Amino acid sequence: MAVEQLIVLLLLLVLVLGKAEPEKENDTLYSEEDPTNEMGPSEPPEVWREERAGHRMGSLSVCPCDLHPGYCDLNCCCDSRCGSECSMEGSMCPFSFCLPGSTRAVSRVCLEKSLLFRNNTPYFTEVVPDSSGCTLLFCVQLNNSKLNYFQKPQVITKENLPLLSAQYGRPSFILPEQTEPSSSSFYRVGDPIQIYFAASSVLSVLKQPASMFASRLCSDENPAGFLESKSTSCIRIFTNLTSKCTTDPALDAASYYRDFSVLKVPVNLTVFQPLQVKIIPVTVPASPILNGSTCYNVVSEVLYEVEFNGIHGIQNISVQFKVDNIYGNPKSILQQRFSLSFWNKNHSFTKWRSGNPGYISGVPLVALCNGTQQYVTILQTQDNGQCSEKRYRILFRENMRTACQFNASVKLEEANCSHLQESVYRAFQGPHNPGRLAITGNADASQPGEWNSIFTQRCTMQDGRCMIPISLEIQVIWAQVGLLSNPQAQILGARYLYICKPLKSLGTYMNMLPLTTTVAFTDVTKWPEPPRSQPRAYWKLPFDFFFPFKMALSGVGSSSGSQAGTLLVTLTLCGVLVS
Amino acid sequence: KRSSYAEQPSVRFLHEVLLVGLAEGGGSVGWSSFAACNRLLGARLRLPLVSAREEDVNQDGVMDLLHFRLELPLQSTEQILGVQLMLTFTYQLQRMSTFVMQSMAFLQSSSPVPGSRVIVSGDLRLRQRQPLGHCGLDDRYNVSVINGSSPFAQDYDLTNIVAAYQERNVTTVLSADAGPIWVVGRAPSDPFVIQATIHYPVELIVYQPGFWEMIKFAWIQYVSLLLIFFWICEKIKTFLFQNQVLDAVPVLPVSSVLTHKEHQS
Repeated sequence: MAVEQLIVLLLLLVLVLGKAEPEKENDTLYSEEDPTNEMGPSEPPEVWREERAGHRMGSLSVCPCDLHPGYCDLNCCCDSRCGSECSMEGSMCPFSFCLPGSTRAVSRVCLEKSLLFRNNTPYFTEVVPDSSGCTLLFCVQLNNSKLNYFQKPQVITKENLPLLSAQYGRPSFILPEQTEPSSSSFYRVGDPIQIYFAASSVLSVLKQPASMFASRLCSDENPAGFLESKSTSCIRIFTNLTSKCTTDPALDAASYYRDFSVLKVPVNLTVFQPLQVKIIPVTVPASPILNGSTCYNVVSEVLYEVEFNGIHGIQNISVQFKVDNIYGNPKSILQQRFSLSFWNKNHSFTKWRSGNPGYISGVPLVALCNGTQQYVTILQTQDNGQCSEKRYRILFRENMRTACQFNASVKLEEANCSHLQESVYRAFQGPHNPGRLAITGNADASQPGEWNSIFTQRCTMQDGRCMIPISLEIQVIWAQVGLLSNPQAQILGARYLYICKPLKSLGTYMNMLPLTTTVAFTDVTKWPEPPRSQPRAYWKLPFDFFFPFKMALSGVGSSSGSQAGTLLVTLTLCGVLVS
Repeated sequence: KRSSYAEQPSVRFLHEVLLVGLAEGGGSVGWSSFAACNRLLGARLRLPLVSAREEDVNQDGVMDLLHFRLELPLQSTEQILGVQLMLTFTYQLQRMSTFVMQSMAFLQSSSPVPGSRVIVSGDLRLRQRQPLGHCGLDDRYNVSVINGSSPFAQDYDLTNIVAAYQERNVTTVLSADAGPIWVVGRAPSDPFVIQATIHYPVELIVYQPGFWEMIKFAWIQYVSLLLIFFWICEKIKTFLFQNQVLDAVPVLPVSSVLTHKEHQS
């Protein structure tokens, strides 16, 4: 019987030691306690020091807190300068506590005491409470030379150092070697476009300054990507405009096309035969001039137009500029816009669809105005709160609300009613009065069947009072049609509803009329009936055996749930009876 | 059906750093561990001293915390009002399904008063929008958070990086309940210091249990009831036949091939 118990204990120990991850209770592998009552009968007290000392260090030299040679380190109980009292836990020790690592530690393996029935090993064991104090731990002292020591590391030589560093290396600040992208004989989509400064024989890439990080400031080094037609905008802050005006190349149009040419196809440095294409400015702009504190002819927009021909690369490149005047002392801010548009002889990328065929969420709504395709727009407010010449586009599926102050330019009390009404209606509609709305995103202007008329509901005269439209509600009804797996959004109809108020009741101020526009999209999609076999969203599925009973008792279950429950109970009873 | 388990993830700092310092007057300075990004920064690039140390406190082979420190040199006239810091990690779980991803910790903090150092201490927490699997290898998100080889500025735009990261169903987030601590007042010669201590805590991971795991509990529930019903039915049967409530004809076994039925005894 005793032998069996020992075997059980050993088995448990083996299990614990063999585990890769020790459990929470076994974290006390290392503890600082008085060695005298912990040592087994067969072990001399010096064992620990020799164990921990390793091979190179002599015994008694391990004292991690003895950092001032020749002096006694505070609370360092193993420091020989502090006297032998502390290391022996004597009562004459002047320290209130010992630093971790300065007292003897014992390697122990512990497991919960409740797991053991009886202990009859001849070796020293003890029962200690764990750190939280709620469970008792049964601990055995570890005396296994394999487990108590770290394994001896390899000897490092010149040859195996890179190997070991590669094998054990973890991510670090040492940058991995970056492989240069292999140069191809033609541009691929997204490749930087190479440029060549003939005067200095320097190869570079065409830049498209853009904002980066979470800052709108221009980053001049951003390369332009081949075939990536896009426009970027960023700002430049000048604290000393008078000196920067004529010297900063970013303000001078010439720096965007002069002195360099674009390479038709990319080159590699080994076989250097650049096929250059000159950048042609549409109009030659003037250079910036400083007059007082104003800087004239500053570049505010750069537009490159690139003609390409497949793998034959860039055929033609032209540049247009918009210039502006900036002033401000000491600080002035300039916004610049940089656009690249690529086009081919066969087709251009300038025309956009709003979907093909169904509308895409977030794209502008298309309307037909006098036979031409236009985007539907609503009023936009400008910095002083008045209605702006610019207008917002209505984006598909985005409910919007905007308001602005309409300047009637005449005294409202003296205004001709019908004239005022007409000008407000015009302001709401914008320059292009949307007559018909495209049903799908790819509607063709020549196909009248692809356009829905907009129902416009203007105000009616009431008792001869002058009714002024102050609010426009645009209601768009749409639905998804087609395959369930590939739904296409269609606009079924739209209404422009004007809300009017009598002119007299408007508490107007300074000839201003506050105009509000709201846009509401309504989804009237009809979904197909789900087939019987597929579960519906509101079905409750039985999660445990008692579910049908619980549902039947509470009486809230749907009929299908209780049916399933009855079926389950019946089946159970049948099974029992048959057996 | 969902279950959960606890595991300490194996997290390693990838030593990828993206730092933006928002300077007074609308300007910004920055640094990243990507050469292409630093090229884009141009004059706004400041080369800092970075140090990182990962520690395995309980020596169980899994890293427990990261000490990160960054000293950004500044001119005496420059002042930092805000910082945005991105650190990336590899994050690995292995108890149920082996889940590997590259994740990030994003710290954004600002102060109305120019600061000299920011100290943050927090946890790298797991955010799950969907349960993980119970088996197999899941490396859907084992892709770089920041595309460090790209030469384009848009790939280093924080809004794009965060937007792409938040598309993921499993992410990590730096949760510092106390928030970053700003220390204000910088000596002109001192650098701006960011000090972060990021713990890798044990996570409760929600997962989808497999078929056998579900059937195990279903079986236990079934058997426990079956035994009761079996016993009751047996009693009823015995009662019915012993008291001859129903008409029953005893059939004697004709041949030994027939199975022996209990209720005939």
